[in-house]
Amino acid sequence: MRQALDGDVGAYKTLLGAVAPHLRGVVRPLLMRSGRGLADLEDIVQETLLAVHLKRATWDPSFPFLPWLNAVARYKAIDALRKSGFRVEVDIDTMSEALAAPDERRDSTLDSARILNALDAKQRKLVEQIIMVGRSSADVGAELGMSEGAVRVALHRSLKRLGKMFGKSRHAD
Amino acid sequence: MQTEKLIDWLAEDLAVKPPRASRRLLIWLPVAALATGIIFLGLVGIRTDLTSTGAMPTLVKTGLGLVVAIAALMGTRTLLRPEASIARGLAALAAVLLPLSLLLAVDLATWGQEGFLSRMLGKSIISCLTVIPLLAAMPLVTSLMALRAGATSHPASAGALAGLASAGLAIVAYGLYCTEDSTSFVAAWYSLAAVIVAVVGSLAGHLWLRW
Repeated sequence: MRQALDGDVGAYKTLLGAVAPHLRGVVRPLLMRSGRGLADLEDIVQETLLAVHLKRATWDPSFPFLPWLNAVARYKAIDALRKSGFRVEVDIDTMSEALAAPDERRDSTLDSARILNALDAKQRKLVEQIIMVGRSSADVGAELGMSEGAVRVALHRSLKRLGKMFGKSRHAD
Repeated sequence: MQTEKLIDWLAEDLAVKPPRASRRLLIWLPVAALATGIIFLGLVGIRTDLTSTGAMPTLVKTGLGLVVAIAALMGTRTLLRPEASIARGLAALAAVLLPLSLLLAVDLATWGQEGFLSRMLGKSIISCLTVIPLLAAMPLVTSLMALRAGATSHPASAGALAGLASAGLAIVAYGLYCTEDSTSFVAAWYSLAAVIVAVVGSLAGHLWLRW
């Protein structure tokens, strides 16, 4: 995380790649104890990853990373359960002991088409080409006549839009 | 959407630096309080006996306000971090109880029990209870805006502490104007005014500080 905060994209991907299975391990027992299925598991994991990303400045590098991460996961999981009408009491100690269980699906119920549909034309093109297809942001930006900064801002806005969608998709369920 | 894709998306966004809630709070809360205080004192004026008979009581009031503000601000900062426990955040409040009980003790020691009630009730309860919350309004709004960049697990408590910090700074300004000098009056009504702001802050935090 320290390297990532210094702008090391590779380190950041590695970190998030390791954080995701940890989050599944934390969220899974919560969902099971609340007596509901695991259908929302990956949605909550993704929403938490997004929160980890957007709130990364609230981690103070002079404190250990794991308690911070678990607190974000706990807050997001409880928030998700509360929004869908469940009351949960969570003991953080049992949570952090949760093992990262074998992986099932790694897709959220929020499918890419729905995400793209919620974005405006430019954002949609950027997300589709850079994120879904995996082209470089410089190429796609040049194609659309957008500066590097403008691409960055548009991608950032679409992330925020995605954050709002997570909350709403659960409401609709 | 695949989680892998989301991670790519987030990595792509790494260059966009997220706002630092703590820094925002430490800058904008004092700025808002100072601006409000200057306008208020510009309108009503600082008490005229500031350098003579009013010196000591004013020092007591502004000192109390500063202690409340600093203690609550430290607690608010702690609660910006999601892993901070509510107890750690509210521990700051312990620092406030000491000067308050000291104020009451000083009153009783100096004047005795006789007339305590009339000293405490004073003549400006209404002004105290309305002006302090009004002075705290802008600082509270700006600090809540700063707090939205944070990630508190306890939105209501964080809001309440932000309210107390705002009230503390409002008390500094009001203390330069108010001529009600009995320490028991200050202990009772300044505190109640601060509690009112804290309650408003806690409701606002409950609504606005979710993330």
